[in-house]
Amino acid sequence: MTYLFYLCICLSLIIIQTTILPNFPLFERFYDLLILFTLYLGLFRPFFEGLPVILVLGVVMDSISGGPFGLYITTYFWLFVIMRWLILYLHAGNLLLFSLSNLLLLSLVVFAGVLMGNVVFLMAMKISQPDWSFWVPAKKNILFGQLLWVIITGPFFLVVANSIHQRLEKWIKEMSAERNGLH
Amino acid sequence: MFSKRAALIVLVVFLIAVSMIFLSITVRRPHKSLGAGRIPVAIIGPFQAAATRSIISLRDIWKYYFFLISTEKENDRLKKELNRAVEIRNQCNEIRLSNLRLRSFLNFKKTETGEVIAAEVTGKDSSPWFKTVIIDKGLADGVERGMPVVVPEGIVGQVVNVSGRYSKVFLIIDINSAVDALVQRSRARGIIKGRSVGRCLFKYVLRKNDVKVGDTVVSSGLDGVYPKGLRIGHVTGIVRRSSGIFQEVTITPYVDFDKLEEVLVVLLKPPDHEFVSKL
Repeated sequence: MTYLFYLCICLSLIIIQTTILPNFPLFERFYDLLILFTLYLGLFRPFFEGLPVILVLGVVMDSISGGPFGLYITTYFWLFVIMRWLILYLHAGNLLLFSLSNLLLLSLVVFAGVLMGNVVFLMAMKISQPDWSFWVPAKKNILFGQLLWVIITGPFFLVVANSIHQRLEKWIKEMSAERNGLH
Repeated sequence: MFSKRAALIVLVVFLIAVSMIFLSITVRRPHKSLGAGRIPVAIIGPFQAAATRSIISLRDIWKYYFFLISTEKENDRLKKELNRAVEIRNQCNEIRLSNLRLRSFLNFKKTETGEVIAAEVTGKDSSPWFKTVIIDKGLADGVERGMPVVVPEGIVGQVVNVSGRYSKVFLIIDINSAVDALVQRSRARGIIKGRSVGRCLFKYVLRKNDVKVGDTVVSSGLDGVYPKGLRIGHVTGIVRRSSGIFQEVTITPYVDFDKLEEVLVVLLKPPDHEFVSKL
């Protein structure tokens, strides 16, 4: 059931960012929503539950995107690993989410995550085309736009995703308890 | 023998090394097709197509039912444009016929243009750094890897990944794209390279060649991918440095890649060589 939930979330996010968002000029510089999902899995879910999801997600994104194969797998994998490492220091349990200080902390985490994802992409582009330069206004604006968007919306995405997932787990537990009770 | 911490460090270093080696190989061979790459395109494609059709339907409802006021004015304008177009078409027909006569007179070989198939753009690249689109035509429709994709305004890109009913198209504005091109007026030759922010560079154009702002750039046909004479863009900037044998020419494509909805795939058999990699 958990993996079905992940499948639905991933599919929805991919459809949103490849078909719906490009139709609105406002979201022209929107960040990769799957980076946030990766951060969510890294921060709030067990390692071996999140790892296969991240790897499959990476393969899917590498296949439908224009980057070199392996770029998304690498990016998501390392973001996921870094989040697992970070959680040892933050102890980011669910209680953290509802205080303002932790929303600020989450803002910082999502900001760093999207920045790191973009840095990996930019490095890959630089290796691929050595004469390509990031230092022109239009390209810098893409990055700044993404970072601005993620600071505004990123923490709420994590809070909402965690809340939905917890409700789903609670519902599954209740259902299975009911079923066991009937038997 | 080893502490858990040391083993962890070794593992992390190993994984970093594997990632670096893997990426350094794939980065230099962009769009090298992996068989497994078709499956996600085939799975995601129908969902993207459904979402895109829903959006288009909603937009059409808005456009057709709420914007009828401006339709009459537009209708008048279009009628005038149509009259002009008919006139131009007649002139073009005359030119075409005289061209055919002259070609047969000079015994020129007929330029191969191939059949085309219309496709709808169902999805766009999720990253603003890479420029690809997914279209709703694939192997079942006769589309093959390497086929050129165009619109009436000019060249869009080429097919890089094909599944049964969907294909991934690599746009000419992607940084890994390259098109052999000519300045239509002066026949100065160079290579169009994408720059990912909606513009392209016209590289390797000799300083001595005559290029002016506003010149139209067309495909040369020499790369074996795009047919000769397709429009690409117009020159918007030229930098001639005091040293060096080339000039830096900036091209703005005729195609508006942000508003790309329908495209035409030219069903030309792709060349055997690895066309997608850098020229």
